Amino acid sequence: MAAGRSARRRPQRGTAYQQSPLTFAEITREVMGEATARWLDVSRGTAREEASRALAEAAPIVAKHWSEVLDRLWKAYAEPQKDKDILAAQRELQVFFLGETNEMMKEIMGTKGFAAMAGTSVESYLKAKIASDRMMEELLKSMRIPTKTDIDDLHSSIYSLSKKVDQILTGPAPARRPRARKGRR
Amino acid sequence: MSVQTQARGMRNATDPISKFQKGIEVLANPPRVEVGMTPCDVVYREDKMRLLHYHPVTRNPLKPPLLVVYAVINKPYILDLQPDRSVIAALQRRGVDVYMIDWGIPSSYDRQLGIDDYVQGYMDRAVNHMCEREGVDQVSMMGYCIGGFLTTIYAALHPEKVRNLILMAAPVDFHVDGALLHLWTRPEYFDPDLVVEAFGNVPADFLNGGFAVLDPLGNTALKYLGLMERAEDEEFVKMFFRMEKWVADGVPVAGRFYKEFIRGGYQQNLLVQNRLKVGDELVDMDALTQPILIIVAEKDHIVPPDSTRNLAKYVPSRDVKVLSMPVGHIGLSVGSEPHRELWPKVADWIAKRSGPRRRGRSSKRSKR
Repeated sequence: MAAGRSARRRPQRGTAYQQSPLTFAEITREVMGEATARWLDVSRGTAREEASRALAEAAPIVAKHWSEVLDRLWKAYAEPQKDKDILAAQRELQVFFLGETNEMMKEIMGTKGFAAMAGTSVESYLKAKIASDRMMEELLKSMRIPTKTDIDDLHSSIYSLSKKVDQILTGPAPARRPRARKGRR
Repeated sequence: MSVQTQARGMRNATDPISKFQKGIEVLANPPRVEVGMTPCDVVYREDKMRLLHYHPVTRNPLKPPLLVVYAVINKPYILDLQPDRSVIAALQRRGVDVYMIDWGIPSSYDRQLGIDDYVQGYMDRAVNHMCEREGVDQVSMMGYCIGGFLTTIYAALHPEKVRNLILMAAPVDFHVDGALLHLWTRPEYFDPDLVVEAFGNVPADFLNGGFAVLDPLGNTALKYLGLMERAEDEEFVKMFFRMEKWVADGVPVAGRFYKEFIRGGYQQNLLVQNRLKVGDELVDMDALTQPILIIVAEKDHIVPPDSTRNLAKYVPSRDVKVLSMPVGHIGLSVGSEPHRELWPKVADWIAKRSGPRRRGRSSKRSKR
């Protein structure tokens, strides 16, 4: 905690990166707390309500496809084809079962209930990741180590400068304000 | 029971076991496979992007040359997976002079790249370079998947530079029925900003996970069962592992591009409404007056057939042809049937619309 505070009081030396405005205690209490809470959300399953709705939508789909599978199984065992190889017939059934299950899964994933459940789950995972990354960044900042955000900001500046250079070289920009650019240089 | 019947029974009983053993053996010791074997040179580079020129195999290749634009989410060698299933080689054999853009792998620097950078920057400069190199003022363009989305935009913004436009399983109309991706990315379920905030560039694994579950058992159990069945077929096994290599060789997508593509495409469907803005320019589908060939994969679960086919409804071109094949998204480029039926037709279509037009002649074919 003390180390964090003393680090904060150090004079800025014009570094390309910024120091965390938070103390070590604040980082521990707030940022880590937030990250932990987010991961707990993920582990508890944030999409429980959506999951129950998705299950309700999935039930008739499962019933439809499994009745197809059972029907096929029944036919295969009740009316075996005499001239058919048993192993070949079993392989055929296996492929039919997997194919039908595949179709069933696709149909379930095509329901709004599933889309909502998947959306909420992905969102809670992403939020947890963002909170964890922020925690790591604040810790790095407290030690005056450049972070990913600092590097991204630099890349962003380089990108903007590159765009301006492209405009000067190819676009009409130089014709519009040549004097101002010349003057600045 | 005769001896022959007993012998057949024994063979049938041991067959699945030996196939299974062979399959496990193959999975444990996959063969070494090569991909992208058609000879080419890198003729232009810019940042991560490379423009490849394939060595022509005919004496007088067709003019204008063809620029192939692949998606930004995978490696482009799917179009040149193996010599007998290479789209590049198939087109070359019929005289097409083929160039292809390889977008490379974006780094964190490229997170800022948007649709305008790809279309108005890299693609436009690649086309200019081709024109300069070949002494022409137009090229033909073929876009595959998201590359088709980009190519459509490019052809609308620069119609004077695009003689023929070919779209292959390209998402153009995003509001069509029957696609899981279209449902999952609806604004009420999915926020692309959050994805980019979490990852920066969107990792290939995140994207591949989404594609894999579109056909959950097809991409897992059924795929490996297929391998077990044909584990003794050396050519099939090599093809299988070439595909595996390609699937695992994904490319992350630049963060800003991803946001613009999901928002402007999947969520708002701006392109076909003439509302998509690229940089400062509005993309106007009415500019697409050049000959257009639409190639559709009828069993495509990534880009529904209507998403590409519907382009015909939105363009004024009088020369629009649709070719469709009963295959999936990737099957278009690696399937045996497309190589037998489709690609010769595509090459003929290009040949009929090619000519010795050279630089300097008027080539204004469109309203712009």
